[in-house]
Amino acid sequence: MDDSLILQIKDLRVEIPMPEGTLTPVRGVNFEMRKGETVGLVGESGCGKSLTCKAVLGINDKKCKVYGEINYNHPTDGAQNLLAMNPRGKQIRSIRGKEISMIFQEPMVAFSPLYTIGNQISEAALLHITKNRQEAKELSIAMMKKVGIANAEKRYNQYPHEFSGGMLQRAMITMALVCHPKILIADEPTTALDVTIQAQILELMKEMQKDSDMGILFITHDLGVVARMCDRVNVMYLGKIVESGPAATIYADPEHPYTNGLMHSVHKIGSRKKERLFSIEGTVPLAMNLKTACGFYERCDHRIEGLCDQADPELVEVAPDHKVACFACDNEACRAMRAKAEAMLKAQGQQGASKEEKRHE
Amino acid sequence: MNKESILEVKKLHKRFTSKNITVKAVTDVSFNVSEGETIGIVGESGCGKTTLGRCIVRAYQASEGEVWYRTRDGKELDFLKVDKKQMKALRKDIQMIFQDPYSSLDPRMTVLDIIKEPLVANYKKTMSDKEMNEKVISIASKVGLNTTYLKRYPHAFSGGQRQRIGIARALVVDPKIVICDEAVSALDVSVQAQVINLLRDLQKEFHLTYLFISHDLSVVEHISNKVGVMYLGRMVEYAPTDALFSKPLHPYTEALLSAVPVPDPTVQIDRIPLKGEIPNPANPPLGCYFHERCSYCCEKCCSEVPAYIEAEPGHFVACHRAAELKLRGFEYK
Repeated sequence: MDDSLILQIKDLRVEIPMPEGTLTPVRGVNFEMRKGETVGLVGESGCGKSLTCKAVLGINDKKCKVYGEINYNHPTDGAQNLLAMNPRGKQIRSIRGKEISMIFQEPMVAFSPLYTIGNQISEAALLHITKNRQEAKELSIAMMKKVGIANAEKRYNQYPHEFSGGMLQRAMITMALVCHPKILIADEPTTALDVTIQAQILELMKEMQKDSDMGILFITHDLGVVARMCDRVNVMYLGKIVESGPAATIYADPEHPYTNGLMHSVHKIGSRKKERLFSIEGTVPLAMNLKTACGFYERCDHRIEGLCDQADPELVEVAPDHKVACFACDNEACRAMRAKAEAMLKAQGQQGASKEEKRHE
Repeated sequence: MNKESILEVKKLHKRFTSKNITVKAVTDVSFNVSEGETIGIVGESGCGKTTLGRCIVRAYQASEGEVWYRTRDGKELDFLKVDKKQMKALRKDIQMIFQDPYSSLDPRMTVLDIIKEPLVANYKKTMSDKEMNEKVISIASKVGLNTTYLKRYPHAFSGGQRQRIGIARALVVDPKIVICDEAVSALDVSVQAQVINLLRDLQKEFHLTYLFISHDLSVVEHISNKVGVMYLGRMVEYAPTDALFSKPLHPYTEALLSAVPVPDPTVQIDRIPLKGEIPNPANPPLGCYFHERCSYCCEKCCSEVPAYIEAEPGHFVACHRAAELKLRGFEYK
């Protein structure tokens, strides 16, 4: 594994057996994260972004089947495949919360109402850093001060219901950062918060990242938040990454029809354009019994009949560092992929036809 | 009442009392709404925007104040004072679309029955069942629902489709005013755009007046003609959309605008940091409610509640220093 990388996800698949068939919410996700980088994972609800990040920590529901490779570049032990570890074993536990930690969407739900905030924060420190309660408390209070919780000593002994939403999210960030993780996974960390509080929390996350060399995996559906936070963006649709690249490129020059649609369906304040918003027709299909086709086929304006509904495009590099999975995009790499797929379909068709003929004979 | 207005809210107050604590959820809110307009109401959670909407439809009985409404035959009525019988006739003129399309539809009723219910409640004596069904089908197809699925239950529909059911239910009685309480907040971006477009098309077709309550400033800017900003139960600024976004007069509006994440990584906004959080509405600060968090606070702000005045034509604001401050807004291209 490349030394500048901290996390590498290879062909990640998640399957959930259901009475009606198998649900495949994640269908082959590949991406990388460099040290100190903020990677955004953008997509609508149900596109598999939360399951992807839960897979990194091995905290998916028991009935989920996870395949693929998630390589974590351990600072001392070198590359390790997190998926190969026992999800309830010692090895992953020494990484979970210490090397990789997570902030959840709803701070009001994520904290246990039965324990004090201090108790829940110092739990992480007690597990990984020290066995001494007093020391754990000191570490926790120092970190609480750092994330801007006023009166940290008093707050330490309070219960979650005594905190406001914004303060609870700060407490959760404290909990995640108390062991100085190398990777922070933030699953919609500001969706439940007001804009002014959201701005405070985003600023705080950026500051905390500057101090350490921490990589942040930022999951959100809010394109405005991504623009503010991320160096690199992965756009997900129906369990796959459809476009990936540096944030500036993705916003200025989106290639994939879905990314393009997303960018145009949000109104930009100050653009004075009061005409209709661009909208992507239809809804995200259910990820069950999917045939080999582009996941976006039914909603796409640029679909090619007979190709997009027969073959699934792969991610190809259209410019340095900018990858797209689409047959219809007008660039060299996509055209090459299209030609290849068409040739393959043709060959398959001929093969099928000759088999038919033989049967008739 | 003003001649163009369809709705005038005057000095509306709503207080909730439990035990010895009184929470002023809405304090002294006044504004006019002209026919065919969309009024956006923005503010953070707990600022009283939903309570305001609910007081106007009289789902809550307001503690004080007047809500004047111009009826179809040109009469002016104070909505809050009319008796029960009159109210029943008026209810269908003001309808509401709710935030959560998952909890606002009865899971045990078919979609047809859900959309039909307002008709049954209002026209039981004058309309036959067949007429009602026809009306339901025509409105369902207008909002983009597949009419062959009307016999199904809400669980069979996606979030966007459910919100369309909620819209159809509100529009089936031909209302004049529709209160959209966070009507698109629970939807995904691509579906949100569909529903916003639908709301605008329906507004044109049926000549509707919207009161659009939302915390999402970019949606509000897109859909509204005028915007009111609420803070801790008070309306702090009310102005035409362009004026409010490009030239805000209240420091809270300025801070709120600067906090909006813009979907463009090249745009760098100097954020105006707000100190702390919304104060407890049961125990609001003295003077201007915003003074503890305001970076332009002066002595007067700590003791005196600023009057809500028309600082510029059509631009209302409640700030002592509105005239002298030069606040930043969005630059329109």
